[in-house]
Amino acid sequence: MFSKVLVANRGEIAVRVMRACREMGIRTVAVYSEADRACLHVLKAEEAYPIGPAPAAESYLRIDKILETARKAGAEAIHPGYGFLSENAELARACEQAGIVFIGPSAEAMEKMGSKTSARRLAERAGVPLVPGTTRALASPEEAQRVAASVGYPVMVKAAAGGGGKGLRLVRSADEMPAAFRDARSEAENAFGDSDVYIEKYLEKPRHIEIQILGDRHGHVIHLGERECSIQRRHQKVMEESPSPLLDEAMRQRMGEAAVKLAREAGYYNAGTMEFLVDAQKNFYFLEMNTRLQVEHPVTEAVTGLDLVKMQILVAAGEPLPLRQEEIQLRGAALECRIYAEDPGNNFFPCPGRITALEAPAGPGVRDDSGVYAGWTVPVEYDPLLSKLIAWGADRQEALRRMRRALDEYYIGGIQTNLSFFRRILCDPDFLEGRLDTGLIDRLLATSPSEDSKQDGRWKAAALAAVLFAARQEGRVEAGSGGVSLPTRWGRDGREQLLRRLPLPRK
Amino acid sequence: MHYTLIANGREHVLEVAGRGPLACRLDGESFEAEAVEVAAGVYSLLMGGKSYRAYVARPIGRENPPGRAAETFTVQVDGVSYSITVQDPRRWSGGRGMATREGRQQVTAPMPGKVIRVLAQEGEAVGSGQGLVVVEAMKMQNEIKSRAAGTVRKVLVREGQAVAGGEILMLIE
Repeated sequence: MFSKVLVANRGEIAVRVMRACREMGIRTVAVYSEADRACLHVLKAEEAYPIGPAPAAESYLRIDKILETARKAGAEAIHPGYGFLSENAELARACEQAGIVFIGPSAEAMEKMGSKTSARRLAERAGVPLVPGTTRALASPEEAQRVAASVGYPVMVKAAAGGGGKGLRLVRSADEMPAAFRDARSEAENAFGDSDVYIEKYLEKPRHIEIQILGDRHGHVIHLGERECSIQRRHQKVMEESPSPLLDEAMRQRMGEAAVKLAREAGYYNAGTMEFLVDAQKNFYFLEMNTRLQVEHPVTEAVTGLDLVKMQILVAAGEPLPLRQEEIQLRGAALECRIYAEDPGNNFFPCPGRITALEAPAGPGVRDDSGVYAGWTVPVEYDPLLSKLIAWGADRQEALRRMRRALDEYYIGGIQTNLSFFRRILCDPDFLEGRLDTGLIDRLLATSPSEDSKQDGRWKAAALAAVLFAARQEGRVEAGSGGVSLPTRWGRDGREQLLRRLPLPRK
Repeated sequence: MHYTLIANGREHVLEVAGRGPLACRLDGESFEAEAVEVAAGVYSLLMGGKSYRAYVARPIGRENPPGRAAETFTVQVDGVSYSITVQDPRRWSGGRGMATREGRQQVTAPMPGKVIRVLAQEGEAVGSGQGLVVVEAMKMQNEIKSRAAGTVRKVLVREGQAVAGGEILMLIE
């Protein structure tokens, strides 16, 4: 086993990986940009080294600097997290040449499965069903129009190297194609440094269900069941759950077998995810593979009882998988909310800034994978993901109620977050009944939030608290009595309490 | 003390008086409350035996100019968030008319970023919900839409220009 691992990432995922390392007795090395000196992953690591200026292209995406740091620190392996270099075969290859283990698949498997067009060709060979479309990059808007006409509109124009909803356009008719083609290409070029795009038929009201797979370097591949990722906004996953309310055991087995077959075809090892679209008739189509750990991996961990990051490290060190397919059993249900610094009241605009106060939920069945703390300023340079909140329950109903309870406990002060939006989703009848599709959020956003939040005592409490706070700011004491008649002392104590808490976020 | 509050575009009146428990009246409905500020901006409120915890903060990026007679706070009570504007009872002069006037709006950047595209030109008529400016921030391109129908009176930014949070991008009448 490794004695030291470098985590080539930042924020909550870097913290998540380091936690697994610590539990395995592995020393952790952080890298950070100039914007991230105070970021939580730097505070949590046993060693930390700067790798350059704030723009990711000059720091977190610099393979040379990361390898140099790994050599200098004596790290035997590199975990890429997700995002940044996690799906960059160059890093995997450079690691190999430098004699450092890349905690992920081989560069060859990553290239085969990471490019959506080549993954589609492989799926075709393995007999896994595909959404109609092209398996190669398109040269011009005219060619795109020809292909789109043959599969029928609407179609999606997608970046071959894409992910995270970038380089993606929905095209409903031929005249929309030139603009969409150009925009998708330029966004793909900016986000991934690769402007290749291809076309896929757009399925109406599809469900997005993915299968987690895990393989070792001895040819052994298993699947860990599915994750339902249909709750999306702008093609970005917002909420995930496992198991999917749609799947029964037979369908789970069929999809799992397809995913394992495809992974074997590609000679894939380590953790990976096969994404499928499922139509109204429960037909499933292979969409793409993510050759890395996923943001939503904790829901699989919750229902399987496995630690996926530890499994990744284990197989990267050459160990065989410690379990067989028959030993995998899904227990209960789990949900994950991606807590972002964004304003749901303002078109989900990113809202970085200083976190003035933070109260994270706790208690039975609740897990908060956070990368932030009170007093820290969310930088503008990176993705505004603050935390992943996971709730587990004996069944979906209990998991839902737990998530609602956890969201009620969560408080992030000073910046706008999407916490309130999750509360709305968790009251939506379609969501509660498990009738999920990728258009659910758009339909929910088309309606205005219910006004009955004004009906109960919470509104009175809020109004009174706002007035007391305003009066205290003015230095006026006559508005209050009891506790608030001593506003200055309480205020000072409270501030001191916050200050004491600063370097040690509550988990 | 008599306060005027604005929440969700509607006006409310809250009267607060008393020593010991506070005697309150919100929009004519009376209730008693005992309040303790347990940490800065965190209030424990006991109202008729019911316990509430309220977190109050000033929203960042939407600060009110100093000296104004009204200030907006975000208040979260047991998971429910409210945006509440409190008007100072001592300064009645200003502060009124906080709600945006029909058809007239300042289009501002919700956060720091870069202007990628300007979609409407001066003198152009725009509809409600029409895209005006595309701003890139945190690797995402975000289209800022018009809140109401009107005519673009002035465009204050160029494509490629970096803008600060809250900076005015366009005026619409």
